[in-house]
Amino acid sequence: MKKLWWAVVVLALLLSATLWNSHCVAAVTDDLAAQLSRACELAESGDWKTAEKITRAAQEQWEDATGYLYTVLPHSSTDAVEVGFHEVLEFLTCQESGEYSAANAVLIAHIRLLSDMERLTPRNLL
Amino acid sequence: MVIAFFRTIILYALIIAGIRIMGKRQVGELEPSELVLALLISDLAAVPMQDFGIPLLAGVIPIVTLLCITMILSVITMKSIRFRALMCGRPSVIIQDGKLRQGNMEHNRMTIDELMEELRLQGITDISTVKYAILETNGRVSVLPYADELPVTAKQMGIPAEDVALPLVIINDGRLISHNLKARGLNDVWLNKQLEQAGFRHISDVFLMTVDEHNNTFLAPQEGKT
Repeated sequence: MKKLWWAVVVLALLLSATLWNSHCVAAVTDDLAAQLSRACELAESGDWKTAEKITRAAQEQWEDATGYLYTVLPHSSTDAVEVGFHEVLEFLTCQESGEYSAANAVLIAHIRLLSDMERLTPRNLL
Repeated sequence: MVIAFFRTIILYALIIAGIRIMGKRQVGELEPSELVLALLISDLAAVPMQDFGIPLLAGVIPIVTLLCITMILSVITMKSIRFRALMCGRPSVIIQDGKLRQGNMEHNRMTIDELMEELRLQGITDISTVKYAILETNGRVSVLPYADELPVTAKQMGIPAEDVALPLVIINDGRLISHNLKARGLNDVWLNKQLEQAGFRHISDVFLMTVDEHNNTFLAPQEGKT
């Protein structure tokens, strides 16, 4: 019976850990997406410098989280976000409005997909 | 490439540990839940071993989950007769009193060729000599011949027979297994005397030494060292 309870405990711990992981990934990505959206609004209103500052802060926050995120997410998805940040910052530096908006939207979509794929939903399950 | 190296070691160690925790039954005949585990576990481990873009946890978590579920099912199967019947099925009588139970054969999709093969493997050539042949839940066939078809035993002949004594390995490939020596109530003095009598100078010259409950010994020398 000891083995049974150990197995149950390990399963419960695994389930808790994976649910907690979903929560953590969602917390990181929601915050990043919010910052990037804010930066986009500022860029559209002409405040490129603040937009760049916020985007760089978001990128630093992303860099801090990559250790964890690369451990739990497919690298193809995290690499897309990594590349996306560089692209967005280049457009911000050049103040290319159209290209920046498009690249920023793609980056936000990639970031939201990271948490979407970890959520326990029927769509993901099937 | 170094990633592949370490991932392979980690996943291999995880699978070995998991199979060992599952117990000896995993190594022998497999129940359905254990068979599924065996089929899945190798594929689950192979994916993160070869694709470095997938996190190692993507292989570890499913493997550990499967091991836990299999362990839970094994324990419940052991404790609950109903659950055991649900998971493993029930044994089916294929031959009874020398006659084929064709309905049971059909129910279990067992062909005559398969049955004859199982009987031959157990040394049976005449079905009419079989009292019972039972298709067990692990797919093997147990064959119970009629009593008068069985070899005569010493007890039936009224001949006293010595019980088999379980040999313990005392020396394994030149290494002394001290706890087995103690388990037999023996010591180094006795051991050295046995080795001397057998013409061995040192423990390392012995490939295998066993001692049974009656202190009967078996010694095999290391090749090239006699």
